[in-house]
Amino acid sequence: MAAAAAQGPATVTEYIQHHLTNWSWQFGQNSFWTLNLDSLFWSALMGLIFLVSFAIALRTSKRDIDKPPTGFRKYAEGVVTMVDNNVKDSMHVSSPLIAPLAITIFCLVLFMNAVDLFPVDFWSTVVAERGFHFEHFKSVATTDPNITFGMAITVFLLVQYFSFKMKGVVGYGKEFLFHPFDHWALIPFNIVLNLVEQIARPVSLALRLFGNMYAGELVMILIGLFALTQGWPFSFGAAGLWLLQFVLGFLWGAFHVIIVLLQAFIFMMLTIVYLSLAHQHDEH
Amino acid sequence: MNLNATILAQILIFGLVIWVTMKVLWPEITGTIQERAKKIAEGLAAAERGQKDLLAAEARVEELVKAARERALTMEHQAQARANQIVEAAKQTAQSEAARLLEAAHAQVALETQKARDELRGQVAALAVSGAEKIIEREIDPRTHAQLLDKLAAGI
Repeated sequence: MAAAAAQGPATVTEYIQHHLTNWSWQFGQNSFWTLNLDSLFWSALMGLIFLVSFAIALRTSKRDIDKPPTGFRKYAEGVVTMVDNNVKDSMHVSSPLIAPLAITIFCLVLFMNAVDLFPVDFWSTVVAERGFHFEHFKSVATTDPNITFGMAITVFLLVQYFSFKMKGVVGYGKEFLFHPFDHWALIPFNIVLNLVEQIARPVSLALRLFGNMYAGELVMILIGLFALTQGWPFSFGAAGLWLLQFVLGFLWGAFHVIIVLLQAFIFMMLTIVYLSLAHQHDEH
Repeated sequence: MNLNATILAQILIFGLVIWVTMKVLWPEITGTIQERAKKIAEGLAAAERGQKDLLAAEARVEELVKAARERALTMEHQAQARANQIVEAAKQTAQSEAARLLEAAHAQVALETQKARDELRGQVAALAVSGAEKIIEREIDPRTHAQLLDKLAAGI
């Protein structure tokens, strides 16, 4: 609120608009050549936190192998075991990539989503108080479609790579031409169907995560509006609005914990499924 | 929703994190977790072994108790048999002793009876002689009539 208040949040619309705009940097002629610096910052930070925290946790686990894991180690080992089991359940061939990829996706998405549980203006305020005055500073990276599409496209590229690697150009091409209908007359139809299927996967993957997190963030912003124009709760009505905002924020936050976890899990699970399909040799 | 070059940057960041996870983190993860799983499996196996040992020991104890009970039972039977034997033998001895005593008593009684009868016979003879003396008023020489008197005494 402080960041917004510094520039004077004239209207509710402006407040919402302000919170849905990224801190961006255009470096090319075309508006495509723009980087959303806040999204990339959070994405990179969460990647770093994931790598460092897991490295420390697992190093500690190795040292204290005889003691049961506690605290963060419990989480780290639990995630690893859960992902590993999921991968083993859905894969018939072992691949050195899928399990690490699944863990990375789960943790990265979970961490980026979890930032949503901080109050809406918390991080922008923290940054502003450190002397950095950015015009915009969105903190939940997964509410930026660029981030979700970036991850979904990475998964898509990996799926294509493994499809070619495991089935060969001929095998994959055959699947594209003769699947699901094994008849030469239906080849064009098969191609269209497979193209749609292949493209729909990353799009749905990216939009599902983006939509869920964006909607959640939007609701958080709307809840944040209750006491926005009230100032300090000196009057009875203002105090009521503050209380309402607090209760609603708490309830939505508690519900959002589930969404945060669930979306991370879904993204991971679908990636495992797509990659296991890429490894599968179709028999018919 | 404006898509821009952020996607490309995000692909780079994401790819980098995946690569580091795969190359650095994952080998460590699997090593540690496998080691822990192995330790747990060993612990479970040891526990199972302990359970088995306990069962075996319990079975052995049962066997020992059973054997001891059987031995005690046979000992009891033997003792019972031995006691019966002793009682039987004692009974036999007592019976034979009683029979012997009875026989001796019978013999004694017979002897006594014989003696009393002989004595009585003598007295009767004497009485008869003196009676006869009184009747006939004269001396009867017992010596001359001994044969007669004896015959009389034997007739009583």
